[in-house]
Amino acid sequence: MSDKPDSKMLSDDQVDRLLGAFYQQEIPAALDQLPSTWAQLASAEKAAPADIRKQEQARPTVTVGTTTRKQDSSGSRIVAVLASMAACAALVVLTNLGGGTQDYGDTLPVSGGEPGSAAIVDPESSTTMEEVEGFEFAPEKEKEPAESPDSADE
Amino acid sequence: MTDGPSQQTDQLDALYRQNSRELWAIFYSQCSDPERAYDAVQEAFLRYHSYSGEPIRDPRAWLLRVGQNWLRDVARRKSSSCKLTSTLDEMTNSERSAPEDLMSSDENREVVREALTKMIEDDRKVLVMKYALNWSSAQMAKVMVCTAAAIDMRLSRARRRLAELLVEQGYAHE
Repeated sequence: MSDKPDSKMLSDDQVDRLLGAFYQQEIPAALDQLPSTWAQLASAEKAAPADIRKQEQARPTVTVGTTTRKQDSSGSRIVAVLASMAACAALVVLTNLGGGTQDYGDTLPVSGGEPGSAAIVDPESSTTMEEVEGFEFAPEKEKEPAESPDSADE
Repeated sequence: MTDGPSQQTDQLDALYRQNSRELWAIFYSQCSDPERAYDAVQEAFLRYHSYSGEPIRDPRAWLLRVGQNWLRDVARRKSSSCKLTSTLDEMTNSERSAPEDLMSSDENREVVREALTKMIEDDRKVLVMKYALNWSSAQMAKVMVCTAAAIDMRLSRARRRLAELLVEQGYAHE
């Protein structure tokens, strides 16, 4: 029963030769040389100063780009500041114009005196201009006519 | 790391020449894939080259540990791709060489590889040290922390076990 496998079985010498040949084939040829990646690393180290020089040469371009961008951004800021300043100036001018309401006096039909003065507006009630200006409007008082009948009843 | 780059490269060169074969053999006995074992050697040396931590007292042990960890990580990620990779490697290799030269030997190599994967790691280790590195029993005993006689016994047993496995797998020999 065990004769068949034994006849197929390799002898110790055969296994010895087989293993010798097998492992010699298995060893990668590149193992005895320096790894290619290692060689690349070494060449990269040697080329490093040149790369730095290239980077330094390229830096002004990058710097120009950055400053341009900075200039662009600062320019837009300046424009924004100027626009806001112009808006403020326009507001001031308009306010000043609004402050000179004396001119509106020309449009008001004032009788018997200079506009804006304490001249009499209504000669019957002797209401002066100062009193008209000091008059306060109270919209709530419009309800009073509706309530007036009740108050009249009372 | 105060040495110049060229001196560092020379040191690394010497370290590589001194240890690469042994490291490859140990990694190979771990994964049974020659290319992957070679990748582990490269990986270990590349990491050694870029290492900037505390000084390494025993570079060989450091490289061995890094390579073995790398192999474990790869094996974890691709649990069953060792065979696939070797098959792909053979396919690409066979494209480069004459098919009639490689066909029969490649088949046999694959059978031997397959048989080796079924052996225990220590048996594979003594075989690869003996046949790939041509180490003596005394050298192996030093690494394996045992006697030369024990190594001889292990070698003899490993060869017999391999022969049995080859017969089981229908290895064709003249």
